Parts: sequence; structure tokens; C-alpha cells
Amino acid sequence: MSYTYLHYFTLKIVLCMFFWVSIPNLYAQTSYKVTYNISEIKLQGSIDNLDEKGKRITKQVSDKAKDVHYTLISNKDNSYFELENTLRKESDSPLDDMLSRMAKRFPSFNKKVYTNHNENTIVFVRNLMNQDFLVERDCSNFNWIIKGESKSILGLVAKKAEGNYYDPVTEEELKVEAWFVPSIPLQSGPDIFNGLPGLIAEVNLKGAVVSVLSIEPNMILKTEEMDTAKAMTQEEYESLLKSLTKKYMEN
Amino acid sequence: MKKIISFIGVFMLFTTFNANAVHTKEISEYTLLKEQQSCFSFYHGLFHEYYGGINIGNVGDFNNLVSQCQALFE
Repeated sequence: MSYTYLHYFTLKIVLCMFFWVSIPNLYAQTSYKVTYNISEIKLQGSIDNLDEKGKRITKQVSDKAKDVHYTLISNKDNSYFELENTLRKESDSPLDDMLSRMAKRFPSFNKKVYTNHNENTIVFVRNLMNQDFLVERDCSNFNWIIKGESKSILGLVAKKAEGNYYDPVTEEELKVEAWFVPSIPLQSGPDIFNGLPGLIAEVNLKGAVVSVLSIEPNMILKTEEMDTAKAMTQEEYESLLKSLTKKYMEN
Repeated sequence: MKKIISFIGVFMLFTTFNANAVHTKEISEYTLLKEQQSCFSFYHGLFHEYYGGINIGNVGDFNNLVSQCQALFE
């Protein structure tokens, strides 16, 4: 009797352990933490227009850009992208702060982006004229065209795609080149860039090249969501951009 | 007791030297920044070459950087 009870008890423990160990791993396989950095900055003017001190500062900004990290937490349903929090060190000088601020401006990313891939919507925080605005809208249509070229990124095969989109802040039609990894079946990527049949590992933008640094299975099962109660619609956002641009031009 | 006080004195002397060295290096970096021009024109030039100009998306950083520079040197 006691032997049977012991056997049953052991089996119960083994089953419980199997359940608690295997279930999170199942989710972890489809959830990833991806870290990106600014691998290259692109000047809109020419470095030749800068004097020696300008060239020296530019070299420092370029070096600093490589330390600017972004984090993407993503699964097949949603993703959350933001600038990695780096606490200011006491040893950081005003010069470090200046270089860091200037480096972060090159990709023109939003502060935070939450994407719901099932509903094809994004919620993002954009800083305009020193003020943060929360916007909810449909994902951009990048009209992706997948090219035949491929290259290796972190030992993974990445395929090239080209797309375009409209930037309402600068009122420009912009081109984007993306390298995505078909073996990681996520539609996500840095900032607003998504919609390819694989994780976007690199984006070549007007102002910068942003590349993946690491891809790790993520044990956090839920991505961070943003409270959309006070979010603006796309129409409200476009109206705001017009009024802010007008205000800026007048000053 | 005298030894302890002497040690603290020497330690403070060295740390003061070090702090001054860091501060001087920082100042010289900024002195180079505004050698011939104002903070505003320096950053205006950089923003033009870097980002193609100042717009509502980057004017916040522009103003903060100019203010930081002016607070130190103007």
C-alpha cells in the first residue's frame, strides 16, 4: 500500500516538474529579446563642409553611436521596441551627454513602439519640440520588395528587401533597405519597421544603419503594452504636426 | 593619529588634482567647440550637416544642447 502511494507521489512530482519546466520553454522558443545598435551614421551634408574640430566631433559621435542600444521584445503576436536605458554615470561629462544626444538623433526613431501584429496596429511615443506625444495608428505599408541578395548576420542567413514609406515629421517619401532572417518567423523589427516574413536584423535608413547585436530566446512571456486611453489617432497626429510645423516656422 | 591625518591630507590632494584634470579636459573640449563662434551657430552648422537641418523632430535636442553649451560658456 505504502509502496503504491510512494510510486504515485513520485509520478505526480515528476509530472508537475515536467509541466513547469516545459511550458515556459515552449513559449520561449517563439519569444525573443533582440538588441540593436547604430552601426553607421549617415551625414546629410558633407564631412568636407566641417572644419577640423567639426570632423573630430563627428568621429566621436560616430564612435558613441555604436554604444546606443535598442531592445526589441517580440513574439509572433506583438512586439515592444525602445531605447535601452543607460543610466548616466557620475563620470559622464557634458561632452559625453552631447555626443550621445547627437548620435541618437541619426535614425530618427520613436522613443517607444508597441506593435500588435494581429491587428496590424502600432502605438508609439514621439518627441516633438521637447514634448512626448502618444499615437495609435495602423502599421505603415512599406511595399516591401524581396530581392535575391542574401548575407550572413550573426551566422544567420538574411535576405534583402527594399521598401518605402512617408515620414510625416519631415514630410518626405523615404526609402528603406532591410535585411530579414526567414529562419526567425517574426514579423517585427526596429522601430516602426515590420511586415517581412522574418525578423528584421538590419535597416539601412536615410540617417543611419541599425544592426542587430544579439538575438536571445526571451523568458518574459508578455511584451510590455502601452496605455492607449490618451493616444492620438493618425488624423489628430497629422493635424498636430501641421500646427507644430506652423508654430516652428513662425518662431 | 598624525599618520592618519597625513594620509587623508595626501589622499585629498591627489583626488583634487584628478578632479581638476578631468574638468580642465572637459573645458578645453568645449573651448575648442566655441573657439570662433557662438554655441547657437556651432550647433546650427552641425545639425545642418548631420540631419539636413532643424525640424520639429530634433529642435528639442537642438535647444537643449545650445542651452547646455551657453550655460557653460556664454
